Amino acid sequence: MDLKVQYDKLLRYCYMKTKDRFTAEDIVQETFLKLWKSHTYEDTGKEMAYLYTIARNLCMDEFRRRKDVDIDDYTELLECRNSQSDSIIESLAITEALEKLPEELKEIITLRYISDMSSADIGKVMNLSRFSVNRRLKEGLKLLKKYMEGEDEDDR
Amino acid sequence: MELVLDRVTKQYSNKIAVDRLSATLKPGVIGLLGANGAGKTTLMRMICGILISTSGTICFKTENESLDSSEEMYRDALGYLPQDFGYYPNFTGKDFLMYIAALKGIDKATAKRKCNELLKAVNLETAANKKIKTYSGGMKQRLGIAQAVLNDPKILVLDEPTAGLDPKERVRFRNLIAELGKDSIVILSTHIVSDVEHIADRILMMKDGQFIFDGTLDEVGMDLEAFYLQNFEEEEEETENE
Amino acid sequence: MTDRKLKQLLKNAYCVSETDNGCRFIKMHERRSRQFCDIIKNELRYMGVKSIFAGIFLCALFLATAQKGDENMMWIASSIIPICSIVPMSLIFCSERYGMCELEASTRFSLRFIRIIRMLILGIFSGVVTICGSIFLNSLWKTGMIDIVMYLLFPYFVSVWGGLLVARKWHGKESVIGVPLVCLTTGFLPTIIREFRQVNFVSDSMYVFLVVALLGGIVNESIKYVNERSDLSWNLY
Repeated sequence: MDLKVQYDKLLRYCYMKTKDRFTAEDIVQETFLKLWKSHTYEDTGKEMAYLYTIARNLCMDEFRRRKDVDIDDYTELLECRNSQSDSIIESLAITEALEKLPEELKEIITLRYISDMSSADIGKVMNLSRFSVNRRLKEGLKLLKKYMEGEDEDDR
Repeated sequence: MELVLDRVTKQYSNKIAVDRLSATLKPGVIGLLGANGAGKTTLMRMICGILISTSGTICFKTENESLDSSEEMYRDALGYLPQDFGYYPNFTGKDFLMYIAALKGIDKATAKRKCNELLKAVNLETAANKKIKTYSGGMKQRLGIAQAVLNDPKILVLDEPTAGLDPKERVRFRNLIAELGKDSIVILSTHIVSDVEHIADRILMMKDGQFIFDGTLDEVGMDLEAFYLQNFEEEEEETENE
Repeated sequence: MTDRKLKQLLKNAYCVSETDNGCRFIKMHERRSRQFCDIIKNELRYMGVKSIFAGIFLCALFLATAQKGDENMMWIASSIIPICSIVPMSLIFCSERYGMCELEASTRFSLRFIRIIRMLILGIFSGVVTICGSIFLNSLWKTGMIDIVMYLLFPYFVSVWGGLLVARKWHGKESVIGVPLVCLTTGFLPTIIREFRQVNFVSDSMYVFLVVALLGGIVNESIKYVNERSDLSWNLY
């Protein structure tokens, strides 16, 4: 288990939920420390669902404390995009497209394609069956495509 | 966090290589100066847990625990760049790093990432998949320092790390070592005085297995090179008188 | 937009740059654990290729010499074995040969562990080859399994024991010459013994005793070798 990689994935999930990088980082660190109270470091790789459940709950607590915030500072996102293959426009576009999705779909897509979680684990975190998860994934991807292609059309 | 040497001695049948050395080393760059045969390499090897001392102890003390140099977890906190090291034939730079990473207990996923990062940091990215036998001396040294820091060591022991490097590479090395000295205990053994002058926070001078000087650059009070030669000359005078 | 492109873009969404705080957290909590498997796999991969070549060579030799089933062939086989044992011996000592001892000794797992692993792998491999070889030869020569095992094992054990002893006493690069020398010398051993006594290995129970004693000697030398912390050996590099 590569801690740096898992930390980064969880950080992005929390950033997606809280829209604030500092809060996100605090939550990530708190989540890991909480996990390690009841599980060994070596088991972290196997306890992804539990890890993200802790993080999800902490994010929701944070949400209750503040109103829903929008991403208005995109500099973070631009700094570390994969500059070789994605253009600036595409990087911005995907984030905007994701933000348009309903919360649940956005979360499932994030867990799958950013955190590389299995459908089974996503199901555990979101309290859904694997079938529902896969269905929603398809739905989410379809919507995203539509938004991304819709944007292209607008540009023309 | 400190490395404590307590009356460390290494005696061979015909001579005493290291004679009751005591010192407490804290994070920073510590320059270990001395002529060949002064006992530097023997001391380094004992710090690395490769040689067992005849008497005395070497302990690594953190807030939570105290580790003796013979323990596995002590070596886990250690990184070493020997004066000379070989390589298995047909190993590429990347193979070498992955091999050492496995020996340091780093799992494959983490090892892959770390190897790529370090190869980039020491400027061996393009040569990573070439065989080590094609490497120049400087490239091999850079590979050596990459393997030494794989496990983010808290104790880093470097034996003549800049020997054979060109001036530009030497400056890069110095900067890298100075950076590492911020959080770890870096012991830099060399007989190139200029290396130590620029980056060492503390200087230990060794002669005949003993520390003849232990202090900061300021405490030397004069040009370090002159100070070093002064002690060297004393040695020559002694041998002349004999 | 293709699915692939979409997924690729998604991979980099919500990207957040590293902070010092984050790096410190990771550095503080990152832990290394015992990765036996990786080390064993590395050793197997490195030794595997060479061992396979040695094994094929051995088999080819045996097949060539085993055409005639007379006693002469058994002596010749006995002589060839120690020469072939140069390969497994050189695999055990490859740290010494390539100057990797010092580096390996400073790692968490240390040289000791690598030596144990190498000896175990080669020991198991030798055992398997001996058993298979004996079965195969027995089907050809029909002189009895015990006979064949003795013909194979006695010279092999002598060269292994001799090699380990030499490697420990003659430090550093000298052992590179010393070990093959022992193996070659042992190759002549069966011929010498044969001239001395026109005798069969097993009928003289002394030889059975010798083989067992040699095995004990090998175990003893192996333990010493594994625990050896050479003070001066690496100075010679």
